[in-house]
Amino acid sequence: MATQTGRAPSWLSETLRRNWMSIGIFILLVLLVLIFVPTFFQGPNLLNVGRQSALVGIIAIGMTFVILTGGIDLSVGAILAVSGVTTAMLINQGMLLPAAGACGLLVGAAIGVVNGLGVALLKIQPFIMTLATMVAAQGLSLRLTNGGPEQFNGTDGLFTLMGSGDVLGLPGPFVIFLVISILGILALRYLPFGRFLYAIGGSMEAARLSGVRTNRVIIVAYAISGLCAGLAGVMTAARLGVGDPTAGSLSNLDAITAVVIGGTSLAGGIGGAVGTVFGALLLAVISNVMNLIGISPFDQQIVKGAVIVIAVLLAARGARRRFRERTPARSAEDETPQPNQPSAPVAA
Amino acid sequence: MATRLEMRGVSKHFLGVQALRDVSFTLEAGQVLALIGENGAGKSTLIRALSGAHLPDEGEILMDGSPVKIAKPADAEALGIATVYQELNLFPDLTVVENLVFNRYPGKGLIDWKKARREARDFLHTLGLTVDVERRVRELSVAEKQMLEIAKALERNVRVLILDEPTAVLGGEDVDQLLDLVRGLKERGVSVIFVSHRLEEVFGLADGYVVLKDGVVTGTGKIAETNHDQLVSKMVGREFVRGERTVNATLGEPVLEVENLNRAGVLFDISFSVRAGEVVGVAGLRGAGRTELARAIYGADPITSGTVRLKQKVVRVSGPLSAIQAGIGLVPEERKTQGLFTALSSAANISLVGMVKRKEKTMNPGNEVAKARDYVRKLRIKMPSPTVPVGTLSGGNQQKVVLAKWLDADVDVLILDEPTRGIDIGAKQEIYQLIHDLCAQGLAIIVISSELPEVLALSNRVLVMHQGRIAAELDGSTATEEEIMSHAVGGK
Repeated sequence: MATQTGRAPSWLSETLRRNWMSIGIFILLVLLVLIFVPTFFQGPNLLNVGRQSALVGIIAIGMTFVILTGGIDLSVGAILAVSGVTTAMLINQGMLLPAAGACGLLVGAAIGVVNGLGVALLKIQPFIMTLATMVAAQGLSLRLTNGGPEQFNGTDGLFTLMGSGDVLGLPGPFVIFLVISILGILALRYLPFGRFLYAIGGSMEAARLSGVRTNRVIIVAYAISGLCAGLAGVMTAARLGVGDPTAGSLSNLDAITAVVIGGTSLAGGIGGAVGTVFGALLLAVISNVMNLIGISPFDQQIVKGAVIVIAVLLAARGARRRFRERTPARSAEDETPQPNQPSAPVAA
Repeated sequence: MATRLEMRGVSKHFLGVQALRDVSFTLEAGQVLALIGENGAGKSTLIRALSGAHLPDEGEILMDGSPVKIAKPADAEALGIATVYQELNLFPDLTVVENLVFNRYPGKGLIDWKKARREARDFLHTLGLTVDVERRVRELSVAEKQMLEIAKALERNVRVLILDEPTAVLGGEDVDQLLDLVRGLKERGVSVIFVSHRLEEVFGLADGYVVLKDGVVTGTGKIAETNHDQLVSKMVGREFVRGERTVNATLGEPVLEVENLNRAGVLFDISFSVRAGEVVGVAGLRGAGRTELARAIYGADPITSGTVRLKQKVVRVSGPLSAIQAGIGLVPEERKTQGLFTALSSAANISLVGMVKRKEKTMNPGNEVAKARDYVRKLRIKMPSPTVPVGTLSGGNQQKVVLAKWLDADVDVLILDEPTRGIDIGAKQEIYQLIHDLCAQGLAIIVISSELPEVLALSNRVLVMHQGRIAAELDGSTATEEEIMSHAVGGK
């Protein structure tokens, strides 16, 4: 009896197949830009795009972990602000810069853990739980600074790199984004933890019955999201030399947009970090090009909204077609009367 | 008495599976007709054909002597046929009155709630129900909800009421109240089709009966002219062919021992053991506690008391993880939502439990696929590649993936809950063969199944459950379907 055909597809081809929509849109866009907005490809501008994509990209990688479980993290923008403010204040209290930055990261991770505890143990819906921490964290950063920006002086090599420096001619933040992306991609591919995220997003009950410690995995996922947002907060502070309590107010939406454009399903269980990287780059390219051709910031938002809808529609259609191609004609068993199975109530 | 509803030669098949074959019966005005049969005998299909969910392939349905076509639920409603399913179709967060008048609001433009409440109260009163119409449905007892559902159906001038196992989830007194309600309806001239597994009720309530077996009517007539044993033998239908049995004759030491297992209100005082190389079948009707027993041993649901020992060592039954680590595996009843991750590849599905059990620190997708290929070959799983989502495979191949997952996790005890549900005949035989092979390797296996021939063909011993207890333990080599069914319905 025939059991299998063909070789296992390589990782590259598999990745391309899964992310063809976001990668395809990205390449198409780049081609269009090449034709119509040649100034885009001038070196300094490209570096700018990299820099612009970095913060949202880092947050979006963390967000991908949460969304894969079927959750959402609305608090990332507020975490960005709190961790930036914390870092700035600790520096002003005389703490060494690296230590202050580490504390900023910890604050982010800690708020993430609170999110995870609420979602996993208290069974609060992720949307509500992270909305609550978002509001509270916003309040916290305003309270810490009495509403104004917290300036700090002094910098070191690490902070310069995180804020505005270069590594091998590439913007520091972009390099950090790449490093985080690679870590994220590797974690999802090579750690059982990564697989557990997909399992939980696919079916919480099946994951539990498979022995997955679902609560622990969920808490860690939110902690990672918080940590990434915290990193973005420290980076923002490093660039501006200020802990701004109002920074990052829209980054939760931008990050979710990047994840969704990247093909990760908001229902969980499907997607990955590769798509998210391209999603974040795509967003940065679009806003950069619009800047270049002089579209007003207000109109840019409208365009962005349209891009989200178009990207998600295309991705959804692609996924449906792929699934249909591989689904055998509906097998008899789907229709057989099933013993024990409750008959579906028919609306009278 | 006038004939209200008649089915003549109705057949229905789904892609090769004959769900109903040449079904004929009549239902008189004001008659209660008991529809009985084993799980999967075709009762649900028959009900669906009458309620507009399935259009029969052949045969005709007559209402008051004239042929009718019931193609959609609205057709059934127009004919005055209403169906009350076991899972209720109420809005739990709306009040009783809001549910009752849903979409038929009194008043012009604005809803006249005063009038609605008054009418609802009066209406329920005529049925002998005294629920506060302002209460939320969520707060009602199961019995009250059931009655409300029936009341909702009756509001639409019902002439044929179909009740799908209305008593399966009710306790003693509630059952009596419901049966009284049905008797009251009968007096008002409503014809009732009453699906039940409990033969005592059937004898206390029904006028006539229809027995289904494998989609065929194996008996119909007046209740007064039959008895318990006759009905059971009609439900079972045919003699079981002994030759199909394939059980392991040489058994080892007891591997799994369950002692005085209790789960409040669900399982009572369950004790049994399974030896190495043995298959213990668990039979019983829907709601008898079979799945609950499997989940309790596996730690998926909390138990109230009792001990589970694996190879003489007590297992802390605290969750699936400790069961897995002790060496117990569960192939759950709901394959697509509990047994598999349909969006993940077969390779990922197969490796997941073993990965958890062995506490692996990293995973290697390449090795994973190679390992999956091994199982694909060994279990003869048909799939284009182990990397495609498992949800795209057929039911039989999906189930083999679930089995491969447990093989990879290296278990001593495997509990299979309805292992061949929704699987075609060929794949079924292969699953049986696999179960047999696993036994030969010394695994202890528990097979829960609603298909008695399957239980008898596979099991060394058969436990029959009834209302959360083990009602009988039978020797698989001598037990008959009649014997099992008789214990399962609570007789003798």
